[in-house]
Amino acid sequence: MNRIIIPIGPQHPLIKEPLSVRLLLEGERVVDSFLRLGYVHRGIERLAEERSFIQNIHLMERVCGICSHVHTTTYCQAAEALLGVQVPERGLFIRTLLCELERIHSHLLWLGVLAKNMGFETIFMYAWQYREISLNIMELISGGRVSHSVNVIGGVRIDISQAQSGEIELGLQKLEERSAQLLNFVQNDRSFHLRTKDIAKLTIDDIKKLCVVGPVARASGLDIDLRRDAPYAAYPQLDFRVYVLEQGDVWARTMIRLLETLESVRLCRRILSRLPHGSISVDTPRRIPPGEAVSRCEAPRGEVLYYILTDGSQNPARIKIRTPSLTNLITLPLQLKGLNMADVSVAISGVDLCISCADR
Amino acid sequence: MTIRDIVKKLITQFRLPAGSQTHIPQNEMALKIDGKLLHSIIESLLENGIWHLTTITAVKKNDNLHLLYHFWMHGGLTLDVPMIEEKKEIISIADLIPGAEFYEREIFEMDNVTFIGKDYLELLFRSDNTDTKT
Repeated sequence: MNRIIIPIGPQHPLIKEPLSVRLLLEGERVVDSFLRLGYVHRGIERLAEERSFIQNIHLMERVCGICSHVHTTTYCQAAEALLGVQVPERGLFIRTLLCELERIHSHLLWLGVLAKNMGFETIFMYAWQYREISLNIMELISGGRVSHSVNVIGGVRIDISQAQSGEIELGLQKLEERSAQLLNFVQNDRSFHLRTKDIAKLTIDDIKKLCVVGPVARASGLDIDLRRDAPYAAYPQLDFRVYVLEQGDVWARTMIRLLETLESVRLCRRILSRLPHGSISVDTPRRIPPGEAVSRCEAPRGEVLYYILTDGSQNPARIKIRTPSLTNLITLPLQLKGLNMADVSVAISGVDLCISCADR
Repeated sequence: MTIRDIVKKLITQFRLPAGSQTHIPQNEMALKIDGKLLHSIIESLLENGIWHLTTITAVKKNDNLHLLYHFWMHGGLTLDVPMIEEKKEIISIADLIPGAEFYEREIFEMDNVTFIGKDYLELLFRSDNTDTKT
């Protein structure tokens, strides 16, 4: 049978950010695929070496437009570790609250993208309408819907008032009801099952070999979550459930993300009900003593790592950013192999790619 | 077996010099090793259940390029491999950990490090008209 190559991207309606996927097809079947990144490579790691530690908070927030807060959290944690400062409890709880709101927003955004790429326009519109609630809450807290600028080295810069807590609680109630509706759809809709079950399967062995993280790993049976396994911020003081499914297909990835959305809503409630009194940050010096630090956090898509090397000056000597999207991208050729062309959009969407994150 | 126990075991097994083990905040163990031992040490890590490579960092320390292999398995472990500046080559670990491929390709393209055993002919991040040797 004749083989043809079909290029998807770097500019393509299926992928919202530039990524090149070249598919080698034999008839309708994908035989192989080749990836190409770098179209939104902004040289952020190099730029960081030219900026002070404080300026870098705002730069790190721009690594990703969806999980901007978790990037600054990871960065600030590394800087705080080098300074040896302890963030006040209230500051840690507010940081954690934003991390969980960001997870809700990211998962609902992703569900909308998946649904749209599969032709489920109604679910796309519902998911993005419900996502607005989480964006509104984040705007209420920080004034920003995408970039929040909440973190500073030594804590957070924005406190939460009693009145705000009440409004957030109302928003969370709506989010819980509406995310449960979406979960019900994913659990029970036959046509959704037909498009997602047994599609782009990854086994736990594949996950381990490729060092995959986040919901993609948990949907294939790997019980890994840094919030529980290497707790940071306020997570050591909070109880929450980590969901794991065995199926390893796009359906399982959808289920995991919706279950996590609901768990994050519950976590936000716990955070608000146990918000400690006191200050939200401590003063820190502008210069960080020489040394190196590694900081890890669980972003909505999985593990984020920041490595910082300092030489005692006002700027870092090196910052390395590792985002979960780059790791999850490695799985794409394996997922696509053997798929029917019509399922390619489901497989690509199912990974929850953020190309800006991967490129940096 | 904890990361600490595994590091102790590696120090004995590979007769690593005193002082090769350090601590990096937050809660990471670091082990300085020779590039020649990298493959064998990673084989040993895999045997001991440490299979999750988070990433590889290329960093200049005192004008010498180092590759840092960040592992995680209920605790962080960073293998610090100093490179010989004029050679800039190291054995690839993608045969042991296929997930290392993108990290190696990034360092190959950005820092001109050659990974022995892997010919990364297709570029991942850089465009075709950029010279990888600049």
